[in-house]
Amino acid sequence: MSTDHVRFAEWDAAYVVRALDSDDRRLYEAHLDDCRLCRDAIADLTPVLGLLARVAVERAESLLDAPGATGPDPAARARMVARGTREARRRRMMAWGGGIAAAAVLALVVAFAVTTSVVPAPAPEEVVALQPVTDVPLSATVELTDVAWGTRIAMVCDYPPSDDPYARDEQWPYVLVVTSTDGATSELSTWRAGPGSTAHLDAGTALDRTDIASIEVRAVADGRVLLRGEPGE
Amino acid sequence: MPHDSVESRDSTAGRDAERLAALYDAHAAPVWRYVVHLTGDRAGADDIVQETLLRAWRTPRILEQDPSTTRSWMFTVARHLVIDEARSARRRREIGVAEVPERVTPDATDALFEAILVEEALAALTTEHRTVVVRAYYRGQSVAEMADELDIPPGTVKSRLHYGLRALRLTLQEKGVTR
Repeated sequence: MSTDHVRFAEWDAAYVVRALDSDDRRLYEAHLDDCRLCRDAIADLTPVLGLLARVAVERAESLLDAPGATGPDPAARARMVARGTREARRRRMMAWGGGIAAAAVLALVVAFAVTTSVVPAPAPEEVVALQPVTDVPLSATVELTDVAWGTRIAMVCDYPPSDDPYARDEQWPYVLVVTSTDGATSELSTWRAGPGSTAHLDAGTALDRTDIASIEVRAVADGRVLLRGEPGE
Repeated sequence: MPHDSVESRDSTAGRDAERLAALYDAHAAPVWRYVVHLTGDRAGADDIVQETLLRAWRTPRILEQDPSTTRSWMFTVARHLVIDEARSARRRREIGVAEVPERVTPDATDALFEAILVEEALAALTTEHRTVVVRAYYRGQSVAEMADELDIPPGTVKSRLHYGLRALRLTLQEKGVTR
């Protein structure tokens, strides 16, 4: 490694965007010949340059803060604080009354009733085999179908038969969870499964298929993620 | 209701207000600028900013992330809100008109989406970093020109470009656009 690397360590970006003047460029290129670190740094930045080229000049220019640029409406801050405080208070009151749990159960029932009443189903746009996240015997496949109200999700979940006679009658509750691309999770359906059982579930979400980041099967008991799949892979 | 419980509720509300104000101060202006960049509509941007910040406020998991990740999440949420609003506005205009599926070739869609993500990553940079990256790459300004116009030493320009492009790369990696 060259001893004067410290002097040039921050020149890589200026070099790759051709912003160095000719004297600096010659100095830097001479340094590059015997500095592995700087050559690697330049290689790291090359893909970023390719991506910058995707954006039109005038779009990029409009991201610069114009001199004297205005910002949000000064009154907006107080409005947002007031609304957020109100919402947080309401949330706490719901939680106190156990209202959240009751509302969630009601929502599940309603979602289930609504989605199962919509027939017939066209061919699914996408089939996702959920992958095991931990060591579980379960396997599940979901079919996603675009519909006017969001995405229909049909799941088949298999629990293979067990040789252990004592395990045969045991069943555990599971929950199907969808996470949107902006990070919000919602529980779609719950069911019980044990050795030798196959569950068919019809559920749905208001999200568009492209807004679904992941679909998971979790254990109700401890919320552990057991199976996971990401559409669009 | 006993007096002490009222008081504790008031102080909780006070804490909420403080945290909301801090959230607003940290993110409202950049999110607002990004929304105006997307829509050109200054008045409408305030509502989108409010909705975006409140969604973050309702999602503790997001608030626990480091600020740049939170910011990048907010830009994505704001973009979704802008698109949703544009769609519902179009639907209102097109009532009674048969739905015509938009056919875009997958390649064009990918390129467009990538451009949006790069714009979003540029918007997520600090003002100092964004200024030199845009001036150097898109305007083709040299280190000397930028130093002169921004009234900072040439070494600072180089340093800002260095850290700016690295921050950009990190954001794009987080968004899965590049390795």
